[in-house]
Amino acid sequence: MIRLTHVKKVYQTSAGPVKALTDLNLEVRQGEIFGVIGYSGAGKSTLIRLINLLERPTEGRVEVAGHVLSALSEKELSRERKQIGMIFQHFNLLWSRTVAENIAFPLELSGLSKDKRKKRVEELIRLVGLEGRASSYPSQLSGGQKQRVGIARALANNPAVLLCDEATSALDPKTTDSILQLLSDINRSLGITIVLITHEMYVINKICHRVAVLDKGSIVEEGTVRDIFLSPQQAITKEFVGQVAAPLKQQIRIEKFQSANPDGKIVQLHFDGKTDQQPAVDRLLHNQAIRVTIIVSELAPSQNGFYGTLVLLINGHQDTVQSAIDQIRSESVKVEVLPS
Amino acid sequence: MNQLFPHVDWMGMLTATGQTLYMTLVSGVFTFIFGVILGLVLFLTAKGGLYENAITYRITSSFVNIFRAIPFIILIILLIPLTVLIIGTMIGASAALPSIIIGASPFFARLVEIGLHEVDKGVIEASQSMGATRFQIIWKVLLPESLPSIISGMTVTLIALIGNTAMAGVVGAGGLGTLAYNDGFEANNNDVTFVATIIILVIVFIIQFIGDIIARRVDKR
Repeated sequence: MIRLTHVKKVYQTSAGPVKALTDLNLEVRQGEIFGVIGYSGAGKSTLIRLINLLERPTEGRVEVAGHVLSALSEKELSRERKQIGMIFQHFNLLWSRTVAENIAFPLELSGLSKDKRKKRVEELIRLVGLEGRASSYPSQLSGGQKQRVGIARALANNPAVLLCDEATSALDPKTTDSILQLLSDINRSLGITIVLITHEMYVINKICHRVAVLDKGSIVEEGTVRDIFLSPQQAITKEFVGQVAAPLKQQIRIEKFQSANPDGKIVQLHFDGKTDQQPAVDRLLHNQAIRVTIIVSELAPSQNGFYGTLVLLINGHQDTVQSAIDQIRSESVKVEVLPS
Repeated sequence: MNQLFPHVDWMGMLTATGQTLYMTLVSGVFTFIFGVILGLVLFLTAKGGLYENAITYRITSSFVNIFRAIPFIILIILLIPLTVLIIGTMIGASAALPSIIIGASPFFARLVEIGLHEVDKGVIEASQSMGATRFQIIWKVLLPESLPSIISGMTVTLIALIGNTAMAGVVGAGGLGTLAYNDGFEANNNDVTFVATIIILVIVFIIQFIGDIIARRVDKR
C-alpha cells in the first residue's frame, strides 16, 4: 500500500546540512495499522510527512496505492493527496468554521456540490460520534472532540490511507483510549490503512498490528507488535517496551499463550494469604491427569503462607481440567477462568 | 445653540461633515483593497511563504517602508502631479483621495501581514495535506482565519485616515479640517474649531465601536 524505497531527507540549515532520515525503507500493507515509534528528533514527523509529500524526499521513492508520489508535480500532488487523510497532534482545525464546516472543508476543495457535502458531513458526524455538535465552533469543544472533527475531516474524501501525527499526544489517557478505539473501529469497518507515529509504546500496543522503531533517522527494528513486545532486540526498543506497565506485558503474554493453546484453559488463582494454601497448589501441580504451565507468578510471602496471583495454563481432557479447577476452588483459593 | 456657538454655520458644518465622511469612506474602501493585496504579497513572498520570492518581497517591503516613513503633509505635496493626472485637479475632496490612500495602504498592509502571520502554520499544513491549492489556501484559510486581526487593523487605519483627511483639509481638500482651519483658526472663531473637533471625535468613536463589534462577532477563537 505504502512503499518508501531508499528514502533520504537532508535539511539545509544555516549551520550546515542536517540529516533527518538516512536511507530508509518501509512497507505498509493494505488494511493494517502500522506504528512508528521513536523519541523526538528521531525523524518521525519527517517520515510521516514524506508519505503525503508535505516534505519532499532529498532522495528515494515514495509510492502510495500504486502511485509514485515523489515523481509528481505540485498540481498532481494536490489531487493524489485527497487519497491520503491526515490528523494532527494539535488538531489543526479552522477556528473560524463550525464542526460541520470544518468537516465540509476538504469536500469544498474537491468541488462537491452543496447538497452532497451536507449529506456526507452528516454521515461523518455520525461516524465519529459528534451528533448534536455540528454547529459548535472548535473553541467550544474538548480535545477529544476536536480530534474527532479532525478524523471526520480526514475521512471526508474516502481516503485509502490515514496518517496520524502524534494524534493522541495532547490528550488525557481516557480520551486517548476513546480516540484509539475510534481509529481501530474505522480501520476495521472501512478497511483503511493507518500509519501512526508516536513516542508512546502504549499507543502501539493498543491498536497497531506492526511497528517500526525509528532512531536517528533510520529504522532499527521492525516486526509485529507481539514479537517486538516479547523479544525486543535493540536497546532502544527495550526502553520503549519498558514504558508499558507490567500488567500490560502480562496481558500480552497471556494472550500469546491463549492463541498458541486454543484448547487449554487459562486460569488466574488468587491467594489471600490467610491460611496456608501450599497443599492446594501442590495437589494441582502434581495432578498427573493434567499438564500445568506457569505463565505468571506474582506471589509474596505472608504470615501463613503467601498471597498474590498465579496465572496458569492447564491442558488436558475437558472434564479432568474442570474437576481440577473445582478441586482447588474447594480449597478456598479464588479461581478466575480467563475468557478465551 | 446660536448663542453658545455664534460663529458656527450649521449648514456649512453639515456639508463639511459630509465631505469628511466621503473622503474617509472612499479612501477606506481603496485602502482596504490595496492593503489586503500588499499584505498578502508581503506574507506570501516572504521566506518560507507559499510563493517565496526574495526579489518581490524586497521590492514590496521597501515600497511599503518608504511610503510609511514619509510624513503625510509632505506626501500630499509630493503627490500633486499624480493627483492632477488621476483626478484632474488638486483642489477638493476627491483630490485628497490619492494621497490619503497611498499614505494609509502601506500602514494597513503591515497590519494585514501581522494578522496573516498569526494564522496557525499547522492549519496551513493541514489544508495542504487535504490537497488545497495555494489559491484555495489564501481564499479559504488565510483570509477567514485572520479576519478578526484584519478588521481590528482596518478600524485603527480608518481612524488614522480621518486624521489625514483633516490634514488634507488644510491644503484645500474641504471637509471638517478645512472648516476648522479656515473658518475656525484663521478667523479666530474658536467655537467653529471646537464643534468641528467634537464631530470628528464622534465619528472616531462610532468607527471604533462598530469595528469592535464586528471584530468580536467574527472572532470564534
